Amino acid sequence: VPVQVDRGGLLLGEQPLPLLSGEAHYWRIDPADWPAVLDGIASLGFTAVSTYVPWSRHEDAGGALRFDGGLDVERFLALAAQRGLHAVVRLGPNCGAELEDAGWPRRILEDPACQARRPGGGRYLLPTATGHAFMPSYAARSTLAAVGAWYDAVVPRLAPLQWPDGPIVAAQVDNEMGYHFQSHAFALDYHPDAIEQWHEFLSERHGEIGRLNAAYGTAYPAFGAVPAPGDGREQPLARRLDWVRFREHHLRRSLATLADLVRVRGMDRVPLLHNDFPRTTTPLDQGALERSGAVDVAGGDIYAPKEGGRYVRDFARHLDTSTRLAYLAEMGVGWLTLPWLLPMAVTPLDVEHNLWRALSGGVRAANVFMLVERDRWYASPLSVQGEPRPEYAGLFRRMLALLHDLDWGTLRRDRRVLLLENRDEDRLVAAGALLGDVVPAFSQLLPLDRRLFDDPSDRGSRLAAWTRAAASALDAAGVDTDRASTSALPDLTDYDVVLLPHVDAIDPPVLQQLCAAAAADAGVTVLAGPVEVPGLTALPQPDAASLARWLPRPEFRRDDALLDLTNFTGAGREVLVAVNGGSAALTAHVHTDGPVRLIGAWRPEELADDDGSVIMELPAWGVQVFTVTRGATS
Amino acid sequence: VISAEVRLHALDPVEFGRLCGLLAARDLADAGELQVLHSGGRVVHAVHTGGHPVRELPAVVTDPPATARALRESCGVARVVLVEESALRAVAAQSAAARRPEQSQAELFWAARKLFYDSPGVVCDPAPEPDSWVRFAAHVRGLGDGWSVLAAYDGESCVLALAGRWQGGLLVEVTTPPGPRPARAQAAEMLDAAAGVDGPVALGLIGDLALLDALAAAPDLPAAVLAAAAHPDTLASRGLP
Repeated sequence: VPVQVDRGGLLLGEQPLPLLSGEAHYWRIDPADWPAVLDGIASLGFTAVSTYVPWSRHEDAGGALRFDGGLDVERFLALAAQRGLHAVVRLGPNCGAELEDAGWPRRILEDPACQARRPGGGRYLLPTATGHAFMPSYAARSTLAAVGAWYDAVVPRLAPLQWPDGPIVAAQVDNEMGYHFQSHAFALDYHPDAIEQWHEFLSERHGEIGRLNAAYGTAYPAFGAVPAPGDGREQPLARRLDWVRFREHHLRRSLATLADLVRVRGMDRVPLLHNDFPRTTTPLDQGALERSGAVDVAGGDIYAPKEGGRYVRDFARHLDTSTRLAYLAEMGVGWLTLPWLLPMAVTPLDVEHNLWRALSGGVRAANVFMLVERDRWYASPLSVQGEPRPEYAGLFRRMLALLHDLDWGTLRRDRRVLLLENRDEDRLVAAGALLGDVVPAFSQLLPLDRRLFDDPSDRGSRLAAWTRAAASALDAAGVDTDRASTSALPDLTDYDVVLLPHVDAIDPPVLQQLCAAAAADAGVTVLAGPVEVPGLTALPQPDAASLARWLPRPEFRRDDALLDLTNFTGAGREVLVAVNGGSAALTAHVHTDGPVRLIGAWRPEELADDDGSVIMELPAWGVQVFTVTRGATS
Repeated sequence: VISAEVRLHALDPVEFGRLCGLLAARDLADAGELQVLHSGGRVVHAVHTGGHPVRELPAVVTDPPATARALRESCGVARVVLVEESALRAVAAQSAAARRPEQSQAELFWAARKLFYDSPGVVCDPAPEPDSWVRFAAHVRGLGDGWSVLAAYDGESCVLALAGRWQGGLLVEVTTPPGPRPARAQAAEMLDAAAGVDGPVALGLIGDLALLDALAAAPDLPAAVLAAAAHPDTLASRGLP
């Protein structure tokens, strides 16, 4: 493959390419404005343009596929190449993008053979942008055949434009595949072809029916006779847990199938990407997806106001720990204008704050969504004619120049603590969910709180409370922390401390690895709670005091917990990102060992002290990036 | 009230962001409902929509109206909703079956809400209020096709303006009207000649920012909008009762 994935971005042959792209939807832009829009993107310093290629827009009412006029994606990409821009093409079939039918042709959504099914055989109704539709099954042969026909039309057109013959350096398969925003374990998909996959999964997992019966306490004559559970009260638990595992497997299998369809049609010289919505719990699993080889990069999407900055940072940390290239396929800038989703105010300060939150969490590649404004969106840096909005566009021009100067892709966070997400506990919580045939996609379809359908036991809340307390204590201590699921463990010997939320479930091989890391000669302290795990150190209630004895001392210490400091090193350089996580201006004493000089790279500023103590001032939600020089300051 | 083919375009990010900020704060408000799921009377699960812990629930619901009333008093919530499981399954099935592709999204939501509250397996104390959006939509439909204008003043300056075009009772276009805006004293001129609006303004509401604050804080937003003509911070209105 000429284009490879690197920890800092992409490699075009031997040449590193920081993957910093901006989203522009050619079909929503007057073709006469394409040159100006692409000029605008290039002028801000982006290395690539990213676009969906939406099936529903290319297919007309008669079923014919069109690629002319405003749908001439090849011309759009050729114009990008003329400006030195690379390209990421997002081939669907699912697009989202506030399209009426999420990018699917209506004929697919209205075809009963394609529709995803609920436990009782009912269809799954999703409010889509401003309409509503019965969403498709990715297991259905009818759906896959239709998607194959779409790829037949689009991939051969775009494949010749792969690098080095054209601008395409990556292709995305589907968008936010995850049971159409339905995390409830028993909501989808019970299409007959999905049930066939369920039986195959059971066969692969258990080998022979006798083993399954022994595990379940049942007497099924064959795997094909094992019903798929539809509610968290069905017995036995082992069958429900298998279903939860199957749902994770089904996503990976579906993405692998789509990726293969794309590759065999010629899109085989660039990495294939996928993006999850910002969740790390079952059925989503970015680390396991990437390790399965289904796609080359498992990225994510994030949208938040500045008040959600910590969440942005933690999701970025999860990607940085779990995937080979921490990639945000949709780094939200601006917000959609649809009526039924939460409205969100997006100011330049929100954008600045969360961009640096994401970067401080370890993101090295990102696609700004939406860089170019379009229908149903507001607060993009470029207008639909390509004119910059100074308050947003200037931010990106400065940021991209700085990332280039810092050679951002080569920098690594200084992290020696790992906060795990216990996938087995997570699966148990999911396996307790209620009424899969009822749970709606959104509360507008049923005026009930979504949590009414969650596992009624207190397992989830106990685990969440422990994890929240641990995260708060780590933040209070100013310790940078990796995050990963136990389903895709990183190298545990990289850490001084590993924290594991646990009530009563942990996969034996995972426990074995944790115990091995915790052995005296490995030097890793593994803390588990709220319920102790034999062989690991008990931590019933994580707080700053109880954690203090184990935590490493950060390179930079501060006396205000709202000041979030992330220390990066790489290629002989040291960079410190400072973020004020509060709504008031902040003045903090910051200490490090020995003389230090901090040169502001984001705003002009210089702090220096021979004793390593400086006073840092940041406005509300403000950000500063320092280059760090050690040694005598005079 | 919004067409599936609606164009939401060329929105001033600061102005639209201001409106979003008001509405986002509104969405954080909690209705304070206690929702109880039971299966033939046996309580399965309960949640407080404000995230408060739920305590002292009966194990069995024998007289739903009496239980709902007692729970409302003992738990101090604004409303108790008791939902029977099999009835809920029936509601979900009916809701999916009743869906028509040509329905607007709002019509779909209203129909789903009506099916839920009309179900004999759903008992509320107090009963839910009628959905004022239905009344709002009917009112707008009665005005006929044309434009609407929403604008707000901060002192002498117009700091927010939105224009929306209506067709057959559905909003088909929303945009920030380009061009100059009148001073506060002439605010009503926007109802006659909103810049960039190429047709009659049938529905309009112009006021001080305090008006938007008040509307966003109102528990029943559409009802508050319908009553806004008489609000003390309203500068001009058209098409409102």
